[in-house]
Amino acid sequence: MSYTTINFPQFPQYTVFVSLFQGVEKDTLNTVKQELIAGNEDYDFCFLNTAHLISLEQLYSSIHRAILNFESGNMRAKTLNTEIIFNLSPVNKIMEALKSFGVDEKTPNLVAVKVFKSEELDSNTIIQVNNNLVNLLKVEECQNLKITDELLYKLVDIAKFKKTYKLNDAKISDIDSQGQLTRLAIADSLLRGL
Amino acid sequence: MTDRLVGQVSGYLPNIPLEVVSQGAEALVFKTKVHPYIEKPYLQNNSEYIIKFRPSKPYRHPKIDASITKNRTIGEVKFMAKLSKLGIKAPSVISADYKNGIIWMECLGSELPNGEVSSLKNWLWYLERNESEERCLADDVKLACNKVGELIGKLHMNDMIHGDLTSSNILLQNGEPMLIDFGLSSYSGLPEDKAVDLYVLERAILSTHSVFSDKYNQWLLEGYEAGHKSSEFGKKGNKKLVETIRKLEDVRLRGRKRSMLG
Repeated sequence: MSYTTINFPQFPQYTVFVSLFQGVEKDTLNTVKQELIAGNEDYDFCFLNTAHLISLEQLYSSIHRAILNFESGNMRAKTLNTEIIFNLSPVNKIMEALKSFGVDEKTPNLVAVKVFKSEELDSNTIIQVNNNLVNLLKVEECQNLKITDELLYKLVDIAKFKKTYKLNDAKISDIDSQGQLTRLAIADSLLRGL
Repeated sequence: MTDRLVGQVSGYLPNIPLEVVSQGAEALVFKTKVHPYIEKPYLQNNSEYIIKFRPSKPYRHPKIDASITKNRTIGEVKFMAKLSKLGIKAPSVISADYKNGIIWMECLGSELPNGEVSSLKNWLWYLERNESEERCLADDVKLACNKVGELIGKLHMNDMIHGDLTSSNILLQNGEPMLIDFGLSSYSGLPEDKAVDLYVLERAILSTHSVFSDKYNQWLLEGYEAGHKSSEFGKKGNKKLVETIRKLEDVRLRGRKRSMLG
């Protein structure tokens, strides 16, 4: 059982739940995809594959902006979950964003994100939520890992990541490349479609 | 005036403590110790951040005002993103709220012994006031000026114009110069625009550091040349350099404005 909860100073009314699962079966991933399309409420999470996630900062930046857009009524996507995926993307098409950042059979590692109202959440509910996810994704508890920058850097597919964010010609020095890629990815997604 | 604007921005950024750093005609700059979404970001300085806020102007039509604020904020973020992609030292963007004209960015620079921020201006002034004449013209000052020139050269080689080059818009961090404030930045390949950019800096140095301005300007131009001659740009660099310097001489004679109108 390893989930993380985050709070943004600007939005104390929301608590964000983040949990990472490694080695999810292909069939399960397909089911998740279908259930998401069908709108099954048990699957009401923002599921991300890890191939394009370079760091926590990149992920959090997108969640932060999704909540900001939600609060100010500027959302482009229909739901907050999709808005988080969309805000990660450097391309101004929601379908493209879902394709590259959403559930993908080729990547067995999954991050689940969900935004809760802080007042509706206590530690028991959160444990319950995480347990449900473990069951839904048909994984053992040991496959539910604590999300860290080190782990994300291990699971990211740098070649794919660079291609998606068009960073092949960027000048990146070898020292702290995770940090530099994070910065460029955040800037790119901030400027999506502008 | 400032109080009203601070009230406006606190409405957009609840629970964020703000400290006013500077105020211009177009924007207010704040410093804060709170990061919007993560405690340990990938930044050198992860204890302080800068917020630049473009307030709405009551004298403009609300629709035009909204579009101007949005477009200028986008323009500035774009410019900064492009710089970091090119590896030119400038603050990186943390977050942006285009509608409200807010940009969060990295806090650069360090503190001088007298507590001021380490901009080129403050550093040179500090030396001028507290140290001897030799110290003001020492090798590290020369090196810093050269590096600033080189940085501007690199900027211009990528057809980017800063638009407001002054010694206070250049920060020094461990002897490395960095550019800030891209509110007036634009893109142009014309030698004219680059020459005007250089001329603005030359005049700024002349008026803020008048005692040694000759030396400083000379060193800046030396660095500017070196920036163009770097192997990265090949033969093209030299050609562009000659064009810009020739134009600079014209601009010096006539001033910044091309026409006598306005």
